[in-house]
Amino acid sequence: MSDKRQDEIIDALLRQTHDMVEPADSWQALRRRIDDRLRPVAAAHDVIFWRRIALAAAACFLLTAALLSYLMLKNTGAGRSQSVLASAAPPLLNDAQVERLTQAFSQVRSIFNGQSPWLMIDSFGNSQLGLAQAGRAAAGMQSLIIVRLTLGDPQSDAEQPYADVVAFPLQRIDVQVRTAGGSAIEVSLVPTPQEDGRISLNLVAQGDGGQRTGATVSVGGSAVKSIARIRAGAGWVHLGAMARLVHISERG
Amino acid sequence: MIGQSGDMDERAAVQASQRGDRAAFGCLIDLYYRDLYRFAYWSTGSHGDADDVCQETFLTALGRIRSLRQDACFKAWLYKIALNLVRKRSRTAKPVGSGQPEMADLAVQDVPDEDDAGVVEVLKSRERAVVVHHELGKLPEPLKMAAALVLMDGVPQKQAAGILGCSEATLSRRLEMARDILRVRLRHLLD
Repeated sequence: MSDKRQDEIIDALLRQTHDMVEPADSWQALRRRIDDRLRPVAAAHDVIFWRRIALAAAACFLLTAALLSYLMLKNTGAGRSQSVLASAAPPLLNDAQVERLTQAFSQVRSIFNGQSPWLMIDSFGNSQLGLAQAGRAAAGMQSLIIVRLTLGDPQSDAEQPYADVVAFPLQRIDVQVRTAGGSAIEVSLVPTPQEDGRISLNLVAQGDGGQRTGATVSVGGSAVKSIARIRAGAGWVHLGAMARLVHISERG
Repeated sequence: MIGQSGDMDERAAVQASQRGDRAAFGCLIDLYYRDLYRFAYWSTGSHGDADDVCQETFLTALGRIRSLRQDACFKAWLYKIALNLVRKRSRTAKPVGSGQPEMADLAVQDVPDEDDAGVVEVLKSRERAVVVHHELGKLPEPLKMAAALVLMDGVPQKQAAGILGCSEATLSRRLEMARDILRVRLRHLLD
């Protein structure tokens, strides 16, 4: 008999033997034991699931509250300084605005304790919230950075839409900002504080159907700096930025 | 009982399980608990240990299923977990036997009601199984595991090599050696 034929018979014998291996009692009994073993874990998963739902609901509630208080304070502030804003086209980050954003962020942060959240509130009243990659920002959690991204022509007198992003240093943040015309711009940025007090922004942006544009620029906290020109719909939009480093310890 | 939602495509069941669908995970258990038990049996050499390893494997898999890559083979992943548990047990637990599978009482299991010729055939096949079982149990561990996975369970060689943590070439050599030994030891059954 050839080796091949012998192997075929051996394989068949092995499979037959394999198929005859059964639990001491029965397959059904083993299946029940597996279920019994998994049941407490499955119940624990349920508890974790509902805890997460509750946490998410609380986060939504607090974020909404933070946003509302921010908008109310913003409107109050806008009335006071309307005459100033009329002549200064690019909106600047004043101390009151920084304070409100910091407070809103601290509420968000308290929900995501131990993680690295980021927050964005834009001039249309929309907000976005996310968690950055764990670990990246751990070194810089004593301070946070507020980046204001403006969308429009800095030479124009018209008020430009903007988005305020609050995050820890070195966090990568992916946000979507909208122009006054409704075009969406995808922005990915990593803010890094510099020794001279300015903020380095590593930024990649892409408009509707346009090409990705990347840049690393250094911006300050007193004036908007034009960063990139991005295709948005049928036209172009200028993306500008300014940023400020805020020490959390100074603000309690 | 977890998982009685009927047939479900394995990939869909894995994805649903990753989203926390326990019924889908039950489907995966139904698909593989027999194979896994047999694999654990050949790995541990004991029905009691195989039972424990089988339960423990599904428990671990339930906890880690979110980490399973989309393109990964669930069965291979499951077997890897089982093999790690077996290795962990062999390091920590008190020695149980020699690792050689228990001689299952295959020959005296209930014989189905059949005519005389049928009964004789059933008894013969069980007798053969006992002999094969015994000889397989005497194989060195790496050869036995290679044979159990590829020759008995039908796991593709590439996946089996991944499960056992060796190269395909090494696995092929082990299979060849296992066959050489079994050809000699089972000579009387091959005629």
